[in-house]
Amino acid sequence: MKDEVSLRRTTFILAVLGFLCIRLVAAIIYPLFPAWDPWSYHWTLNMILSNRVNPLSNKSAYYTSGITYVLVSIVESSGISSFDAVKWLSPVIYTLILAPILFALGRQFGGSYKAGLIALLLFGVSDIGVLRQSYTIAEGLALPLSIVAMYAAIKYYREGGKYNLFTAALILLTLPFIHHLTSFIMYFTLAVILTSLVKFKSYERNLTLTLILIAASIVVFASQAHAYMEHQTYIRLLIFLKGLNKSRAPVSVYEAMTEKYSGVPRSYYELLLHHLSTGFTLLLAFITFLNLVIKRIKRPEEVFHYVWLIVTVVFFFASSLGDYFFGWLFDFYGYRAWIFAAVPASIFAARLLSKLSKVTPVVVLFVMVTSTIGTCVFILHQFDTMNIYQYEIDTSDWIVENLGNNTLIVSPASFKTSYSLVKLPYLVTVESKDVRFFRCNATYIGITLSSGGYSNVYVMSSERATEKPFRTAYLVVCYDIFYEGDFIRIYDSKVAWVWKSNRKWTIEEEATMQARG
Amino acid sequence: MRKSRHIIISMASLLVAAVLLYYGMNYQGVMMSIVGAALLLQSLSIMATPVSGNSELGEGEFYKRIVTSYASNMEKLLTSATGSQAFYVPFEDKVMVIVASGGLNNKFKIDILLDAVGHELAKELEEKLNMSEEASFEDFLSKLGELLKEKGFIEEFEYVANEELLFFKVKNPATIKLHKHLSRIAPKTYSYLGCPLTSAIAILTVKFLGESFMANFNVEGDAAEVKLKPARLGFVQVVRNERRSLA
Repeated sequence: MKDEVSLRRTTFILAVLGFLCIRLVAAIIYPLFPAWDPWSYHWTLNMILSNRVNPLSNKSAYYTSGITYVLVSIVESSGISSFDAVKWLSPVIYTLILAPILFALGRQFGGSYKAGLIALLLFGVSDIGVLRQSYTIAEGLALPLSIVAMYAAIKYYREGGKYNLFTAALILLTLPFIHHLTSFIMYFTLAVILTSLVKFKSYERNLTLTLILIAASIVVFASQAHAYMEHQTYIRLLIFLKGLNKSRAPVSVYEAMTEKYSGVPRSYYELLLHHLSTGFTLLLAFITFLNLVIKRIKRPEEVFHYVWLIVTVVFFFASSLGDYFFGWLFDFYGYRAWIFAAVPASIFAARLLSKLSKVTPVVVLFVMVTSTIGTCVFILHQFDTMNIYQYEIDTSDWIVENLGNNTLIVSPASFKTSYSLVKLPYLVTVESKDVRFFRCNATYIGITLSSGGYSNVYVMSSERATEKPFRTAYLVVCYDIFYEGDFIRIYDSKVAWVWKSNRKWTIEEEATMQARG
Repeated sequence: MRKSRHIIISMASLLVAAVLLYYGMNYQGVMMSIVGAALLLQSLSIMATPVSGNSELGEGEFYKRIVTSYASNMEKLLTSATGSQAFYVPFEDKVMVIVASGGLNNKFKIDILLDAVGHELAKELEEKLNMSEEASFEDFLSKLGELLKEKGFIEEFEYVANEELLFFKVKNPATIKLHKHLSRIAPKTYSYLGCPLTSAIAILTVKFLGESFMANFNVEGDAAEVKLKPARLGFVQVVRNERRSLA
């Protein structure tokens, strides 16, 4: 018996280590901050850490969350830089919270130690799970906490206990301040679950948990979370309804699923390889789901899991379909809802896999190995692609060092077609007293260039500007003009370039260029 | 008393739900609206339940809760015994239930040892049956079926008996509600231990044949089923585990 216990303990520790290691791949291969969307997350994080902005007093800090900020401040006192602390601490914190809870949920639902371990490993190698937990992002922290709240709610419903109730209440009331979408999905799921649980006639527990949701909804309504979770929802819904009568060609499923990636898959085959883990998990979860429907749900904890899976998977598919039909009008992109479906799906899939493992352990091994390979390729592709961002920073450094006063540098985003001077595109993060970074748009670039006042005009560009997500329907860089004698390339780092203009343009020439673009 | 308490609670919930829905819908409170709708549905369900007349309040409900509580705890214990099976084993003048896992090369590891439920009833039936040592198994089963019907415990008793399997189907047993309830709240416990009536049938069979059987109880519609498969148990290791051992 002792041997068995120690074997189980060792296996569990190894599984947690594996869970963590795959989440550290991004931090290992990417020299800067790993972040899926470097233009927003990196910038925000950079601002918070550089300027020591307290996340509790600044809404931009929303992306890092207070807990990480406090931990980073503590680690910083040991001499480690806040940037390194954020980079390495985030995946460790997510793993330490999530791994034991996932194991416990899998074990409870699957009815065995093996099911718990498989649930932990399945989510451990889940593509979206690894991606979203490899760096500092609100979902990364909000998700594990929401799972703890779910576990505490299940335990309270089954066994009672003030500590379970207190844990669930504390987390559910805190959640809107960490991440709005996670809290929205968790509240919605719990509301549906509690309504379904009435048949078990534990009215007091039902209503007590609902009371927590009522308190949470009042907290949301009365706090800043209202702006994110409720006010914006109305605005988006309004935009969506207004736009319904306009004809809009649906994007491809491929685009709907990959548009937000840093590194876009090059083919359907690659897309499939990257997301083997999601494919396997959803398939196995669906079989367990059907099995449960046929056998009929008998226990309250099964209702919890069952409704949790339905709500999150429906949300995931609805969001993906929304992207497919309507583009990004809503903030609920398919990729954002993906991770919420991955957790219950892993728990469901683990139940079936643990049973299948009795017939042949090869099935489990096959699913795990292929999922791990797919996810590793996916993560390497994502974060390797992001290394280009480092070249851009190198380019910026080169500009600051080599270009003198009275210099105008135009970022690639300047070529965005716009009819308003006010609505300018992306910020350029390089800063210098001597170099002015100018953001303008294609319509007005000629006016700016011909107005004088600049000895040199440079355009900073990069390969990224030619790729997704920067090269999209609404942002196209007119590269043709660089090759027509108006610009010469003075810096080339293969993936980032600096172009120098040979002469100043007239407004008429600009108009011609605009017409061509 | 309980009924009126439920109605008061559900009325209060209904009121809170209405307030939440009102404010939620008028002031962009999306979460309030969702929670309000959930509370509304819950309170309506609570109100509808006592009115439907299906509730068994009073003493019966009290005992049902005790059974539920025991069954839930037993379920946790049995669920922790991964990949286990239940064996009914004759032991001196009793029948013990051995919950064992493993099964490779017919070798099992004991996880839990229990007294079978329904020993009292089995003893009472055994005395009434008064079977002679020469009696055949067929006689035993037909007498048992008649006795159970005579006592009003069951409506019909069907059986299939061969070397590989003994299968009993008990139509409309007096304990059918308990069967359904147990199989719903504690499916594994029910499939291992059955109810006092079906367990008594299994005990009598095991005692009569003097062999060990792998047992499985099931409920199908209004009939309870008992499957007994002859088992040759080759125990290689007896595990002492204070947390699990109840016997």
